[in-house]
Amino acid sequence: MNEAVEQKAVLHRTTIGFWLYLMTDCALFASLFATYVVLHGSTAGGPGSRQLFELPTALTETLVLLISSYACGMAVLAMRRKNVRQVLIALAVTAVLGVTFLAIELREFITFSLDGAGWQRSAFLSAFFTLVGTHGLHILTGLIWLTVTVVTLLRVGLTDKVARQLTLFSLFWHFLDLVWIFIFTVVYLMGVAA
Amino acid sequence: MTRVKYMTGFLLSLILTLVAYVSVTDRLASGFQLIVLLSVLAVVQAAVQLIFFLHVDGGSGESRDRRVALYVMLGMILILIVGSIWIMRNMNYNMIQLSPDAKNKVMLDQYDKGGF
Repeated sequence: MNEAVEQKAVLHRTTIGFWLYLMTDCALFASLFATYVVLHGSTAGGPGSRQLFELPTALTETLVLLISSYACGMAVLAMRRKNVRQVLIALAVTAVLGVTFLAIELREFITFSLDGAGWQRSAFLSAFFTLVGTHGLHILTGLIWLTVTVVTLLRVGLTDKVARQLTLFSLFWHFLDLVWIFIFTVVYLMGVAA
Repeated sequence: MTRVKYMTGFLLSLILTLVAYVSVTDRLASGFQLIVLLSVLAVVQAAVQLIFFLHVDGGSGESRDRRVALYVMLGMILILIVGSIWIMRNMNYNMIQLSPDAKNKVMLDQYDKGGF
């Protein structure tokens, strides 16, 4: 009984700590968003957002990340039921969709670069690559973290520590989906609409 | 209960995303109205995900602590983004050393070219 109370307190502390990190990450993304919005028109004679962005691609990325986020939530629910098999299945779906998202994004980056719209072309493109690339880097970090957690889970089972890791990872993953909503809206939708 | 919660969040996010997408592809609004519509849809979806995925809705200790941190950060984000846009929109205008009329002309030319 005492140990359960202790574990709950540890979970509370680590969750709050991790949440505070996520909030500071918000400040990073807010700065990049502000930079992007300010530099959006500074194309230096190069291609602008309307010529460059393809909405179907952006929508696919959005849906892939949303389903990935949902699968991650399912993993946490399965974890609470102590069902390791379901946790692994849900995490596998999360990871596969995360990799898919990253692949689509990378393909877009490469296409832009080859078409003479790399980050060195204009202030607008520098801001675009920095903002979207920083989000992509977070996704990559999340995928590495997920891999480490799954390997630990397979080796030691669903211990309190692994459960805590998974809870924090789910916060991170949902948070990245939330940031993406704004990238989808501000960069892609408004970029094509404006 | 929580399963229902995740599903609700997922479906609401899906609908909001598709509405935002269609409003641009089918031009449901234009210009400033469209920008406002998209902003509102994004903020609503962010709220949906915060409540249904990130669980900041609870009244218990931990959830409340997280909500407080979130409010502080929202304030900072607002200052950062609105402040940056506000300052940068007017910066060129305030920095140019010309007569008011010449200044207006420079700014209008710049605006026509698509810059601030």
